[in-house]
Amino acid sequence: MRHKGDMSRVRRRLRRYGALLLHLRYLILPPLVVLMVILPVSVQFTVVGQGDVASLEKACRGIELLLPVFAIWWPAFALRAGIETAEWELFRGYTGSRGAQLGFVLFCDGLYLLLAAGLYSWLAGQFPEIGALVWIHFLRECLLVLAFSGLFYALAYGLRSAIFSLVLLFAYRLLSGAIWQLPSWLDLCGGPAGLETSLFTGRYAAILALIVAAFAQGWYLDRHFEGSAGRERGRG
Amino acid sequence: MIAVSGLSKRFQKKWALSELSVELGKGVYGLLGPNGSGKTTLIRCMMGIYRPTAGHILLDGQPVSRKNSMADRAGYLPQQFGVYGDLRVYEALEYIAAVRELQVAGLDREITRCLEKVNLQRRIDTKVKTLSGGMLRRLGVAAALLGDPEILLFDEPTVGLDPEERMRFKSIVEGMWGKKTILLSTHILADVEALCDFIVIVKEGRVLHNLPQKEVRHLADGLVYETAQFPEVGELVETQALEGEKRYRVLSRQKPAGGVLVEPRTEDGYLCAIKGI
Repeated sequence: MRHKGDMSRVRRRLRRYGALLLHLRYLILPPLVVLMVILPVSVQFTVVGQGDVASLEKACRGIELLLPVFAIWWPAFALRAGIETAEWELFRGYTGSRGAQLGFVLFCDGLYLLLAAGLYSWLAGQFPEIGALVWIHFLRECLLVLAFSGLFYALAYGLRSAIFSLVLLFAYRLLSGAIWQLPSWLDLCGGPAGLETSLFTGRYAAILALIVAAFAQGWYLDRHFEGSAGRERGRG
Repeated sequence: MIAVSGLSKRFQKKWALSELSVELGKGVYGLLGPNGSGKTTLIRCMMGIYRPTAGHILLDGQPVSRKNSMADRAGYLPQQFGVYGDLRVYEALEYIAAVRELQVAGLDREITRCLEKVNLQRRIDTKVKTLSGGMLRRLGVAAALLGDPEILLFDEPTVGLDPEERMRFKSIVEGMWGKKTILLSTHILADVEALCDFIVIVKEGRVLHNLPQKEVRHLADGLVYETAQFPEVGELVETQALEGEKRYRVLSRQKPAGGVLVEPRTEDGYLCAIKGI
């Protein structure tokens, strides 16, 4: 058996990403439940059927409460093995020299946004007159998903704990109501009260810059990661 | 062929490796040294877990990189082998095969082969968290053997194994003799004597010697004495009680009182190198 077989490197890489996700077992479920049960049901029960801008706005606010932050669930539990468990050495040995885990985080984001696109397709069907606004909101959510993921990626390797970083970002999201009283730049999901008609604004340029900076920082920290809190360093 | 050249690794103020150079071809190499001598750090640098502070690692003449990665060609058993405890033994190897990005075709057969090698074939459905320490270690060996890699890096492979399991591990390594580059990091000299073609002795992050196993004993030529009196000079390496009389084995440049020069053993050569005698 040889590594350079018929299966392409890309397919083997995707298989690795798939294995990392599937071996989460029941921990793979929460984002799926949020995207496929909680959000559709809550939107259905509260607003859909009226078809006006106000009800769409209400639906979008509801979605935004959970959708961006749950994007970090899969990367957090999958990368935990390579950061803070006894498995880290084996995991890093086989994956570290192949490059950082950036690809896996983006793979999770892509999969998550694909499922989210299904939710938004359904939502656009409920608001046929103002479907464009639905898709603009979806693009906004894409940016927020990437922003949360980038922050998670940088924090996880910076703090050497995927789970603590997950808790921090969930706490941040939960407390963002309180943060709303502070300057809006402190709240990633803040912004104008009404629905956006365009994302070509200074706010979204800043979020885009934050995404690039957070992923770049995460990538750098990931590449230089050498075990948790130095406890493994320099042995033997 | 693996060539390590001028490899240094610093952790804050401490140098774990200091311009270490060594070449490894086909054969079984024992990486021998006291605790903290840099054995684990060297293997972690080879696997890309640590980024060297200076120096190079060449694989077949090319620097190790993403395109010429050790991970693509090596099986690795870390000092602390761990995998999700909720997985069953078979699933754990399936998972590791995916993490290693091994070719899928024949994976079932390959997992079975590796489990048979380490005598875990009857534990295929056992959850990893219920395995004993020795079984977990054997699972780690099976994981390293997956895909029949041409290089095997074992960090303390026999720790936690009972005598029978150690024998089995030795027979696995002997079965691959001459076909692969195998590096065993250990401080158990008996394992090295039984298995290795070459011994690489490291101390304070440097390679002191890289010799054929049979030549290591010659490092102590003319330096090993046995005496019935407690030695006042040299390094005492063994005390034996024979028929009520004590015999002391000592390494020394000076002849101890009542000392008789004896044939050195591999252990004597290793100790002479480490103690600078």
